[in-house]
Order: sequence, then structure tokens, then C-alpha cells
Amino acid sequence: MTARLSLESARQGALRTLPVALSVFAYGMVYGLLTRQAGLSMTESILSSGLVFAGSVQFVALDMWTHPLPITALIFTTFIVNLRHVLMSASLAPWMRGLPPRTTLPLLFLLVDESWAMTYGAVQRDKADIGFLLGSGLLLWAAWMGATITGRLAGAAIPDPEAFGLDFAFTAVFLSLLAGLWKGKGDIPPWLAAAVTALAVHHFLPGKWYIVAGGLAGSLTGLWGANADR
Amino acid sequence: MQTDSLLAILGMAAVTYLTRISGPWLVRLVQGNRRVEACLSRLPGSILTALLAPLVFTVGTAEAIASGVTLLVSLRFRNMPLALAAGVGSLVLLRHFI
Repeated sequence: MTARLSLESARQGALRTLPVALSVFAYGMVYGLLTRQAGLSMTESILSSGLVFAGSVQFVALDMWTHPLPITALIFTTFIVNLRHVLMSASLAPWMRGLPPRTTLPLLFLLVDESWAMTYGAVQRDKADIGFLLGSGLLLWAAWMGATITGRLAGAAIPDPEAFGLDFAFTAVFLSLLAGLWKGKGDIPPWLAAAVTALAVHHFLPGKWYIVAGGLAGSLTGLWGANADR
Repeated sequence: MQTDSLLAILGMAAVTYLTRISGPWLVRLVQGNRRVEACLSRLPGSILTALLAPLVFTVGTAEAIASGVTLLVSLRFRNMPLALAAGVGSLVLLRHFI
């Protein structure tokens, strides 16, 4: 497979990520609002969204934001919560093979749950290339940044996302992406293993461990009938 | 801006970036191993399912039913905006009635 990065795919990525960016914007506004309450300065809010760019862990960090800052704990928690990105970027590796690090390294900064899932779906089914991640990720980054600043400035004027069902938009996006990955009965064992493991781990452990555990459990079903060509 | 805040944010950014770039490196390490490759091929669907399971099954009845609607519309029409609209729309309705 020869990896490519085309502007056409980037354009597609941005275009098709628009509905997702809308719900990301809603959550970004909530984040912006909460940073004020947690005592972050405007600069700190902007830097956290711009440089960390990982919604779930930013919310978790706000919980821990008490001075003096538990810096080591913050960094360690961030690492654990984001371990799933290792698995996600691993799954995109075939579409980056042959591209130089000066292209892939900056590109992977844009990998978040949503851009990964959209990109994986597109490269898998629609002949899009890894440029999709560029368009999708840039749009999500812009939405996340814009929303953080808007939320911080707008303060209490934020509508309740639940009233519009916006909190469900993430679930709907991921469900629709999963439906797109369906290739046949062979998918049942890994998905079942992943779901059951995730639910169990989610019940007993805090944080995002369930994603890592479920993802690994599902993929390990590949050990049985290993030459099953899928 | 305080130094400790800056340190914390930079540290968080650094480890997050590290997780984002280490996937392809990990893959190169295990390249050519059929078993590992079989596992990797099942990884994306498994991650998505794992991410979804608690969102679908532990939030509430309305969310679970709306998830079913979203999934059916996705499978039938293969159109994400439509599936999104169906899912979010049915959830708003369900919350109203449940």
C-alpha cells in the first residue's frame, strides 16, 4: 500500500466532520465555562485546549486543578487516559507507511477520538487517504479552540447541551461509524469481547481504562484462527 | 501565568502527543507477525465497541433505545448525517416521554 496525503481527502475530511464539530463545539463551550470556575487564566485555558487538545482529560484535569498543582499526578493521569491513542494511531499506520516523519509527526497531533474514527471509516471504505485526518483534525481543533474561548467569554449564557440532545451526538457518531465497519459475522466475536470487557472494567475502574481494556480484549480474539484473512 | 500551571499544561501536552505518535512505531516493531496482524485488524472495531458500550448500556433507557435507532438507520441508509438526526431526534422525543 502506498500512502498518500491529498488535499481532496483533507477537504472531504473537513466537510464530513462538520456535524461532529458542532457537538464538539457545544462541549468545548462547557469546558471554557468550567475553566473559569476552576481558576484557570484565559491564557491557561487557551494553552490547554490548543496544546493538549484532548477533551476528556482536560475535564478530568479541571477536577484536579487545586493550587499547589499536583503536576506529576496531572501528567500521569493524562498519560493513562490517553493511552487509547496508541491503539488508534497504530490502526492508521498502514495508511501512513512510506510517508516521511516530517509529514506524519505533525499530522498525528490532530488524532482525537472523533478524527480517528471518521478517518478510519473513510480510508477503509471510501478510498480516502490520510489527508482525511488533516482536514478532520484541523476542523475539530479549530472548533475546540473557538469553543473554549467562546465558552469562557460567554460564561453563563451557554444553553444546556442536554436540552438539544447534543450530549448524545457523540454516541450517535460513534455508532454510525461502527455500523460502517461491519463486514460480517466475523466481527461478532471481537466486538462482543470488547463490549463485555469494557462494561466490566467501566464498572470497576474509574477513568478511560475500559476503552484500552475492551479494545485489547476484542483484538486478542485475533489469536484464534490467526490466519483468518480479514 | 504561573510557572506550575505552565509546567502542568506542557507536561500534559507532551505525554498526550507521545501517545498519538507511538502507534505506528509500535506497529513497525511487530511487523510480519501474522498473529499480531490479525489482532491489529480487529483493533479498530474493538476500540469503537469498547468506547460505545458504557455510553449505550449504562446511561439510561432513552439513550439505549436511541442507540438502537441510530444503529438501524446507519445500517439501512449508510448516511451519517441522517443517522445523527434520527438518533438525536429520537432521544429528545424519548426523554420527553420516558
